[in-house]
Amino acid sequence: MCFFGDGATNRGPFHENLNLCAIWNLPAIFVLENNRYASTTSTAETMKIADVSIRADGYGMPAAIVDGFDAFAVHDALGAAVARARSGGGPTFVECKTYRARGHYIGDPERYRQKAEVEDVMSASDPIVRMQAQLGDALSPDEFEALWHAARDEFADAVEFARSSPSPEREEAFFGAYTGDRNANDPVHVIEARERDEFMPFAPNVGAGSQGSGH
Amino acid sequence: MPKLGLTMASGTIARWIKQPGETVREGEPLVEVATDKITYEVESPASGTVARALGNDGDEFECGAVIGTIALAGESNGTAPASPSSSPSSGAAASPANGERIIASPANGERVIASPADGERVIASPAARRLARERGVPLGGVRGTGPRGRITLSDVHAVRPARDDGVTPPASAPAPASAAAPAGVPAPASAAVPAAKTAFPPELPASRRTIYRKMTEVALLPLAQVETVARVDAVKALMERRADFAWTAFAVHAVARILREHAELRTDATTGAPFARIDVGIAADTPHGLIVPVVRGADTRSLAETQREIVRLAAAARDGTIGPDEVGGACFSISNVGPQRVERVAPLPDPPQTAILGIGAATQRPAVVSATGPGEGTIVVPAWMLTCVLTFDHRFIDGAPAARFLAAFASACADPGVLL
Amino acid sequence: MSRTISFSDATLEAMQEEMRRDPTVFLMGEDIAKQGGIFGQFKGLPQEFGFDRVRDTPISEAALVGAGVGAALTGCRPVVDMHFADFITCAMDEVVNQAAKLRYMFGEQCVVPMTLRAPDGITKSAGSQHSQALEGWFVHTPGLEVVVPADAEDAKGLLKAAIRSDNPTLYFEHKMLFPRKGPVPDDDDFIVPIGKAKTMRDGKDVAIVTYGITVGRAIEAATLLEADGIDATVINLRTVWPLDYGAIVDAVARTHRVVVAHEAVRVGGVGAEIAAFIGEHCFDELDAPVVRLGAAHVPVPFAPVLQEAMYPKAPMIADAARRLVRREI
Repeated sequence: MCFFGDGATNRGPFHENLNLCAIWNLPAIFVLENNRYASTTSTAETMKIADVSIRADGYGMPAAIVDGFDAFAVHDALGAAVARARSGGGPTFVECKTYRARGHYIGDPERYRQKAEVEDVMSASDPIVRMQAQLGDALSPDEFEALWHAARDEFADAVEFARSSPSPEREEAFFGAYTGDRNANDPVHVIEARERDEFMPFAPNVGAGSQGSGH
Repeated sequence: MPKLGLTMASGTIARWIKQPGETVREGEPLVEVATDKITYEVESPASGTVARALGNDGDEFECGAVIGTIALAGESNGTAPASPSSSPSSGAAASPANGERIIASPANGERVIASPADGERVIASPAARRLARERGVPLGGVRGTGPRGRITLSDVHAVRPARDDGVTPPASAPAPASAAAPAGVPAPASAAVPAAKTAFPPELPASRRTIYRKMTEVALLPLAQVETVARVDAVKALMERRADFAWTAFAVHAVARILREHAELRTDATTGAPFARIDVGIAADTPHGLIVPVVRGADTRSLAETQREIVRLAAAARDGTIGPDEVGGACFSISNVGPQRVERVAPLPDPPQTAILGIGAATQRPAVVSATGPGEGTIVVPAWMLTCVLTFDHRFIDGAPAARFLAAFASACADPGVLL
Repeated sequence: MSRTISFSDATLEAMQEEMRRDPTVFLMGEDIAKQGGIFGQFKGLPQEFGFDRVRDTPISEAALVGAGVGAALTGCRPVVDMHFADFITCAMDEVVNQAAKLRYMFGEQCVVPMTLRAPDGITKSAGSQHSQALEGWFVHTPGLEVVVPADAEDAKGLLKAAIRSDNPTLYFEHKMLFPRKGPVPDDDDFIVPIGKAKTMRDGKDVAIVTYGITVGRAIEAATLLEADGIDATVINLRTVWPLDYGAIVDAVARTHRVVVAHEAVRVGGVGAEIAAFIGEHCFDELDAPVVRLGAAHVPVPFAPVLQEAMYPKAPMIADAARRLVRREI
């Protein structure tokens, strides 16, 4: 299952891979999160087409379009693609229509779109709100709270784990590009060890949680 | 005219060691310059051919005045220097020696080679440097035959362990200026002019440099020796009776008179003709090292005068007050190891002198003499004898004349009355 | 015991042996399966192993290498053939940003045991875009192994080693070498270890350090030098990353004079790394500067007379060595 955004669909390898998977009938599922913005450029200005999935047509690959804010719809569409792949039916292209809620990066001034547009779309599209409505009485408010907090906690735990994990040892910088025992006498590891010895006296001790010296 | 001392204002040409037309290597003694203090041997600042040597002996020049010129190798009136090379270069006579610089390449293919300025570094390949370091070979003495005069491995390999390491000037070289620098006398030439790039052993005291260089040349000479044992009873008896002379004075006195007739033994190696004046040098061991004070006109002095002169010179040598006209310029020298109670010395001549007499300590030895009565054969009696060795330069002196000289000396010892 | 076979047959034998030995080894590239490779180097493979394990691809270098990286990540040992080394440029992201870096970026949690085969080098007027030698770029990219066989023995042994290596390995096979015959050991476990050079010729006067097709040219040069009484060492590096620095140090210590030669452009080439290394680590052994020979800094020309003018062959190598020994440099 290969995930990508609308921006990637303009690159050469996207087309080469769609074609290759189609001709070889590979059990691959191409999941496009079309959130209408690639970095600072919108799909409206970077492609002539409204639905990227017609590109899959160009390679003879079955395609589907689904409301990306609708969890159940996405589940069903991908389920069908998985079934096709597993039964030897070959690849499927699933375009999930969605919207990028935040900027491309933290601190993005978002000069490329209007705030009003963001508010309009998101106010009607929160997938969690949508799913609550769809579930109706099947999910009690308490159950919802419990799920919400469980997800939050899991997320918070993960963040806490990352934050409190120690920085790697400085000498790790010099190993790991090649397989094998780093203490072995083979050519690659001898070179790695020599470089480690040469650089370590100058390797600054940058503490855990810091962003690096910046220079 | 180099300024050889702080107070020196002018100097006198004592003697051009190299004459116009002769080739000279940088660092070789070029000219003797006399000051009111001492005579200095001035070393050549460059390698090439002496083009002009201004001033004859005795001419005075102010410091800084031009006293001569050297044509660098390849320049107009010089041919490429026929300097001795120690490296087996493949016909690289025209390639720059270590440190020399090509300053122009005229169209005719000859290369003009300039000597390096002071402080220029030696160009040598890293491997050559390493090898030279390992072997203790001073790079400054190695001739580089690589590109642009670079010293390469093969150049260092070619350095023979013997004395000839590219430094030796031709044998007919420097004047016998004072070998040591007595205290109180301004430093000799080699300290005042730009440092010669000769390869002295790194720990050699500077005061030994002149001797080092001289002995290096001497080693090349075809020296021979004749030796005899002189009976000195008569001289000893005379010394006791007169008490106005010591053994050395007698030797100088005798040698000087014998030298009048035996002129070959006072040949000047630079000219091939005998020295005109009979000045006899006496090797003296002083606190300042070996000094050879010279008794001027020794053949014109009486024995007593010779004795007084020797005493005066010895004191001056010991005190470090010996003057410029008291050393150098001898036509013959004597080395006496009697005071050290050593029986024999075979000394080396001091170029351009071509002979030297070595005298050992007088000792009592058995002598075979005729019995006093007629027909009574020989008997053995104790007699005072000493061993004399005459070392001579066979280019100028043959064995027979040398032997005759020595025999004359032995005769004078046996029968001193003749000389007095 | 050994047999004399062509370089191209040597690579074919390597493929056969490794594919028999390990079912996860498969081959894909352009013009491989049906044509058998333009030099015949894949002949018979689909017949023995099936078209599943020997795949023709569209002209999609990025997808080809990308698929190779994906296959390698998920447990296969793909051998990806680039047809011409010049076409690696169409898949640089996949080679440099993916294959070379994933293991390091993921904290050693994955391997990319992919072999990339790339016929390269100057041949008969193949033109600027089909004649390059680009190994220098990949020596400069941490995470890759780069090997350059010089003869049939290297061809077989290095390809087997590359396939067995768990690291992404670039295998540059010179187009002109394919028909060249040489002895190859019979043992089907014969491997030429990655990172070890071979001394082709031992001489005391000068060392020629080289790899690939230039090894043969260096040996020719050494023969020319014999007539001048000059005795040359020839070092066949076999691998250009990791470099056998020890063999280089030994050669310098033996001869004190070095020529580093390759067909790739001299400027910024592998020879530059070797020469700088020698200057830094063998300084006191050098009796002369290190001389580098490589192609001139121009695209490889098409016209034969122009093509032949701009890269080093035996006479040029011999001349450099001779001038070094004669202390003209």
